[in-house]
Amino acid sequence: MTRALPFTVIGGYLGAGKTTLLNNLLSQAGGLRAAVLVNDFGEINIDAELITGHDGDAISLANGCICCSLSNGFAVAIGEVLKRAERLDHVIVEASGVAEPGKIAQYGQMYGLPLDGVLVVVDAEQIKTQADNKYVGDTVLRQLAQADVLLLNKRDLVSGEAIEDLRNWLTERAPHAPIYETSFSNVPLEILIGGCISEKLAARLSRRFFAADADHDLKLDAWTLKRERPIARAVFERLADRIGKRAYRAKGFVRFAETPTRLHLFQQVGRRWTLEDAGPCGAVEAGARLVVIGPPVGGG
Amino acid sequence: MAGGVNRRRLIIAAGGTALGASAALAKGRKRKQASNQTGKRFADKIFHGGVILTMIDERPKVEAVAIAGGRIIAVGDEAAVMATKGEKTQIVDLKGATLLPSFIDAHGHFMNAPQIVKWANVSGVPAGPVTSIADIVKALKAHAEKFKTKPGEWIIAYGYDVTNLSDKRQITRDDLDPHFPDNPVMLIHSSNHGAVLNSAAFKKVGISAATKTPPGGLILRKKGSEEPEGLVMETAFLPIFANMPKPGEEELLDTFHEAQQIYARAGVTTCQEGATHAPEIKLLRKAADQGRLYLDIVSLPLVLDVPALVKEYFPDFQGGPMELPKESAAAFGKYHRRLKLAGVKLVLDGSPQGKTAFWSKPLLTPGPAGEANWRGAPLFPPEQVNKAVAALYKGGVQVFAHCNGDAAIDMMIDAARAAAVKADQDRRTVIIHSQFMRPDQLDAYKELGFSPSFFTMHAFFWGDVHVENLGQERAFFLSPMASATAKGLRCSNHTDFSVTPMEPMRVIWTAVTRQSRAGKIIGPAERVSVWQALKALTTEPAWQIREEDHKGAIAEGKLADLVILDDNPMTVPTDKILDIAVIETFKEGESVYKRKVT
Repeated sequence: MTRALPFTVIGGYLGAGKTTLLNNLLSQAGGLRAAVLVNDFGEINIDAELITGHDGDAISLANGCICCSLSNGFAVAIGEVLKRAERLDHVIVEASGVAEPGKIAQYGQMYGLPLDGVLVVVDAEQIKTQADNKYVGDTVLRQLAQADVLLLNKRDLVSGEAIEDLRNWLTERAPHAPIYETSFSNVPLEILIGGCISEKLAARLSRRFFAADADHDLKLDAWTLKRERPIARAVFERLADRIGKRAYRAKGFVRFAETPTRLHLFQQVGRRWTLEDAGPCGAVEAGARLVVIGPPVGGG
Repeated sequence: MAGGVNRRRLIIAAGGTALGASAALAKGRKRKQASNQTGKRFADKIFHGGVILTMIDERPKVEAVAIAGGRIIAVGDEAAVMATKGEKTQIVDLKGATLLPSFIDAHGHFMNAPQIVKWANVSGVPAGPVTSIADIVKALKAHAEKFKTKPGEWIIAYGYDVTNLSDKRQITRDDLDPHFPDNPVMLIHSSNHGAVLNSAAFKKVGISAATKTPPGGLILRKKGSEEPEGLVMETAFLPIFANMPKPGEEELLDTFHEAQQIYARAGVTTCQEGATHAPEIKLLRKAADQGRLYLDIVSLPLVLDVPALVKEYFPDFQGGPMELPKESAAAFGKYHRRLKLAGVKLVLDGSPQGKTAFWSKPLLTPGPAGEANWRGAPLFPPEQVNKAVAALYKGGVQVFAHCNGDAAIDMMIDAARAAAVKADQDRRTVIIHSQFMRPDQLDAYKELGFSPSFFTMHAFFWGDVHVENLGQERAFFLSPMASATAKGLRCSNHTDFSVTPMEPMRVIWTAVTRQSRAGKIIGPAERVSVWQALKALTTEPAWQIREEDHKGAIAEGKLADLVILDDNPMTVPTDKILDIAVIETFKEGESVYKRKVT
């Protein structure tokens, strides 16, 4: 039985910044061993010194990541990944510029890989033109609607007023997806990958993003939700829905009042969340302990 | 099954001929022609005594044809042609049969043939033998016997579809298990998106009652239990298929004779490999180098594989991903031991029956995942299409673009206009399928020198479905051969093998009748004459692949690529066209298939 690696889909139209995002991720994976499946090797810009092996459809990097070409189809690429599953933590797939990322997400699930999120990169300057294009307009709109989180990229090219208008426009088309604004596809790993969320990381994240950095607006907050006693499942589900209205991601463990001796793993990306049984637990464990990352309260 | 046994014998008989033929053919090229003292060549063979259709409008019928050294040396009245008779000339009396230029596969996928010859055909009539579950079992048993399948080996079949079964239910593992307890069996669905498995196959691929159905997939379960019943579709099937053992190179090469016989026995001597991946080009080259090809194969490398090909064949080239080395045009257009790269294949959309083609207006029915207002989607963004098309035109490489829906066609029109293409440049851009054109696009084809390769087989196989999905007006303009011809466009017609069977007579019949399975005429105004339908399999595809000087017609100097049919499609009642059979097929004068005399 191969390990069920969590599976993230990066979607978005041609030129939105998907490749830059993946280049950033490959060079700054910070210990995460990711398999990145890309449409075009030629566009991926890996420092030659980082490459430790090149085997047809797969490039191995010194940091434990691998990069696989999708040129021979998803099945071949995922085959390469699953062969190395024991040495990997996560799979990230770049959807082609006209693919529906929601359909790519199903491809992962057919190999039993749990979906960790559909993130769609948006070109702040071009998106409205793209949505009006007679050939790809409806595809672009479907891409937006299928996103768990929208990564609004190239915001440096758009004025503050236009951004506000764009946010409203996007929210009408993808009402369920929180929006993360960025430039140069600079997106924190914790938004891309659920597995990166932990209490330790949350603390570090807060320091990093709350730091007085001229280049960064205050745009990401992280906090911990704790509850001592087991919680009624219905109450928790309402809480999860509330979290999903604002937060990019959340992760943690919860005990339900109905089954206090079982622990459940809670993972959430945008509005999508899952609960799975994580085994028996002792009475000493808290009722719920969640780490949530999202835009700063009161900010946008 | 008597029919099956006969057919098998026939293949073996034909095999002997063809193997002999390819050896003789190799010798034939070196052999000097016998000639008389004035230098005039004597014929190797003279055909007479039947109907000879030249496929040339000005002189459609002649009395006799003489061939020598693989070419046609004389055409015309019996007396004139007989003047080429020498001592060793073989006189072939057609005994009333019909001689034609052999057919050219205008578009299909040759590389499906090596696979298919190893699989059982469980398609419904007329694409296969099946009308019931019992027929499927019979076909599988015959296949296992033919290949002497050992216990534990896969038995794979193609073309399964419940709508063909008089039983009115899916075949299940319980139907298959008693007959095939020791062999995993897979009946691949006609859509290629699913299959029926028996118990041994379920065990082999690891699907059981405990397997969860993945999102977007289907695993039919036995009533009142979680046990899989047989059919698995979509996301539940695709990983299984991807993990099936792949035949090795030698194993594939060994099927090339039988693969070519699929064509030869249909009277086709130029086959198309119409979407070739880089590794398949390697395999085809190997087959060519080893002398395994006795029919011509025209390969269209896929545009996405062009960078890989450039890397392999032009290792010093320093350009970017969609740039082409200056010398690349020279790699196209010439045969090397019967293999030719003709141009590059672009695929702009999917299939109309799968609702993945790209239309400008929505379908009347929901999309493949139940979407409302569905009009399909392009496979590539227009920016990428424009870039690739511009690079290919600039590099002097012929473009073959798969476009089924009118929006995909619009994208190609835009790309060609952006590249400043005009008809007088004679680029012969072939728009493969051109199935759901709009009338206004015919003018654009004329302006840009686009040539459609139509697919009238759809009228029969999916015509009723198209009417349902698209409404009568759009469906009736499917593959508009009459309108295109009236505009002066040259159009071919194809099978898209193995999407539909390699049956030139059915291609002709569908172009002439446009009759659906349900008996509806799908666009009466687009029916063409038998002559036009024949040209779409001979002169027109020859022109599209730039071989009109050598192929597609019976005229002096052209290759002796010929077929003898047991009746004349021009004069039989229309529905009898489907009954016409090939008596013998010649590639450059050598017999590559001969019907066994019974």
